[in-house]
Amino acid sequence: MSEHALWVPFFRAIVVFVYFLLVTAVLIWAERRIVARMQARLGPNRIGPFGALQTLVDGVKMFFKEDVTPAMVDRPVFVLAPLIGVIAGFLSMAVIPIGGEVTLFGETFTLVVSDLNVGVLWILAMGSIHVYSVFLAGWSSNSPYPLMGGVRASAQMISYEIAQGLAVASVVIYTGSLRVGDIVAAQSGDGLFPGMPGWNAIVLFPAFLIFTIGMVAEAGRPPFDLAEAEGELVGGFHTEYSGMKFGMFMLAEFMNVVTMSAIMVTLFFGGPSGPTFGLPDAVAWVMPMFWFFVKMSAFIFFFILLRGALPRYRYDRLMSLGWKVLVPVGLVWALVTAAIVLLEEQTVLTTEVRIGLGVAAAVLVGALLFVGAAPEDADAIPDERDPQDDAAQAPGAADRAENAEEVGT
Amino acid sequence: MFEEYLPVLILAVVATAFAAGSLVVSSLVGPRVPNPTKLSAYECGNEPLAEIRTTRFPIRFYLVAMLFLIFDIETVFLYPWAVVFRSFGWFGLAQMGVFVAILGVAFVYEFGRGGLEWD
Amino acid sequence: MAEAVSFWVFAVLALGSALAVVAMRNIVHAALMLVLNLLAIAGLYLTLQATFISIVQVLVYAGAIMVLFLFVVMLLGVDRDDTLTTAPRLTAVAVAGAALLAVALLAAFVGPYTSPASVCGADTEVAASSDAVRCIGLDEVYGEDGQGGVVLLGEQLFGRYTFPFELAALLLTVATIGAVILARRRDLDPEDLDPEDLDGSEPPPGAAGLGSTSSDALDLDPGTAAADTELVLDTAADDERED
Repeated sequence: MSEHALWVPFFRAIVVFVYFLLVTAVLIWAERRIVARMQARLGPNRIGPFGALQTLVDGVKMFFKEDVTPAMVDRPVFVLAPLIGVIAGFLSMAVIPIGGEVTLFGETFTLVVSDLNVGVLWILAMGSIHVYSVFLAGWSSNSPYPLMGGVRASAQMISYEIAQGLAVASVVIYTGSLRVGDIVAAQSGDGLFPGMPGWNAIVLFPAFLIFTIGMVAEAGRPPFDLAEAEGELVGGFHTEYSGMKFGMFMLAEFMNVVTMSAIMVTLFFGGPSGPTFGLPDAVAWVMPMFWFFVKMSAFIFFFILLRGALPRYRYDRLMSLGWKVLVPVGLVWALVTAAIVLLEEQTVLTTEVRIGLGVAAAVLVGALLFVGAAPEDADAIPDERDPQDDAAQAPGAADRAENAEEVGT
Repeated sequence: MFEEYLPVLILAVVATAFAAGSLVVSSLVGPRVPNPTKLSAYECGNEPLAEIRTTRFPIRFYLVAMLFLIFDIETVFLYPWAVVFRSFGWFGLAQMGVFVAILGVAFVYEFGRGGLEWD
Repeated sequence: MAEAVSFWVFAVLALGSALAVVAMRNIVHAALMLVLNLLAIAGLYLTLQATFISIVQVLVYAGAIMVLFLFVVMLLGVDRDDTLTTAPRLTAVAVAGAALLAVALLAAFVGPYTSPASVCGADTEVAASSDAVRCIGLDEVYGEDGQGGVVLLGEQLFGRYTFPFELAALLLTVATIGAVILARRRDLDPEDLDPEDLDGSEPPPGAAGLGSTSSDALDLDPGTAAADTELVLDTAADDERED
């Protein structure tokens, strides 16, 4: 990294900050519109074109709302918790490149806050700091629902952190570097066939699956939003929060969706790389930003679809899925990835062998997921073991979750 | 080195200023009309009953945290290995294979003892 | 310059938060100060250019071990009016022990650099001799792999220290099994004993739990309770054998 003028670091930090803040604002609006569509409603449509300025208005409104601090809370920690969430959320974006190289006022630099040499670990570290926000919010509220929601949410987050860490590990094994820039660069070439993108999501498909499930659970989004299962825990860890402090939690939650999508795109979908269609240099620098935005939006849309389509998971199943399926599969896959890398180095792997191995691996993982999920249905609810139960699983799951699960578990 | 971390520091300062600033501004312009009901714990409209300070949590949360710690350390060992295992070839893979296999014993034991059950 | 500034900032932060850990009355506040302390230490590693160790410090210590601490606090009950009283004699012993440890650490780490053989800021004559204590900045050591020391660490760990590395796996396995033995006695699970606790009543001694879902809570009868006591003794005996 060469020496830059003093304004460059400021520029990088502020551009990324504003970029993610804006994307989060758009996400909140888009989610309300899309979920409304899925439920045959209109959603916000009054302020601005298609209601697009609704988020801005809501944000301003939040300032003028009463910020109630209940009497029994532990004040310093109560204020600290939302701050930790927002700050950790912004910091985890620090290593994500949102575009390619740009030249401004004679300075050429990549559009990333900083390409740290331990980049992917930085993302995981910020995720583990984020747990404190949830835990401390629950603890400092000193009130039953938040306490239960906080402990439950933090147990969920740490469980899926392992699965995510293992998925990231196989990306690092495949790339051989912890630097996010190297991981993006390694995916920019051709994949298995010429013309096919060299995305990690294809080569490391099981890791990609694990990461996808993990990111939904980490972000605490439906169907894994057990932390704020409103039927049983009211608002979860932020029940006692109101006004701007609540606003900070909401911002952190939605920002998490954006961050997780951005990390996913960076680690598994080649980040900002993509074809430039032979555009002249003067315009070509826009294309990486365009590709990054398109890919990230696709994942944000995926998050929204999940919320609109799926009922909430049950907590004991959530924990079993994490520990019994994702962790062992992730560990084995990391070793398999290493074996693939070594075989590749010895050029044993021709295209045919690769495809065969890929199909075999996909079948194996599918079988593992199937076997891992099947017996739980049988012993999950010991007192209703009729075979029809499994068939009617999907529609009944939400109801049963509410019946079987009381507060605190 | 410091050039790498300076933008991160700036981002941290900006994010902190944004978050803390929002809270300060809202506390200045927002109304403040406390009453006993608002200031009490929220229990769906009932009189607050729970004595939360002396309640204890089930031990399985401790077990989850303990397992998290152990597997977190294992994952952390994977990273330096991931970066260098190429230079050790199959011997490197065997090392990590043994490591994972030993931990696999713990995992299987736990599975068998029902340590992963949540009911 | 930047190095000196960051050293002093993190050093003061580390010492201040360490003192705060001891001084805080509230256990969760003390734990938070410990998190701050661990983060400050990570900052010191960063100052030393050991980025990998620094980030692992955040991941494992601040991210995992402290979460475990907080969960244990929850397990024992969030009683925030606990005031600690210690015998003055114990305090004296503790202070003396800490002082001794500090002196020993200083002697071990700083000692070599104050000896006449040290070449930190010394003339070239001393530096040329073979038994000179060299003062290599970590910049030189960690800077060369461009990955914050992770390549060097990996090469040492998997090249020279294979056996200790596998022993670490054994240690982690023992820890897991120990945790399961301690925590996962189905018939001892405290939550099984306590079907409702949100009514404000005192939980029965040794048994409490927020929200219980267990369907076999009703199975409990005095007979199994007696068996439980035996199991407690059993577990204790097991543990001693484990050690």
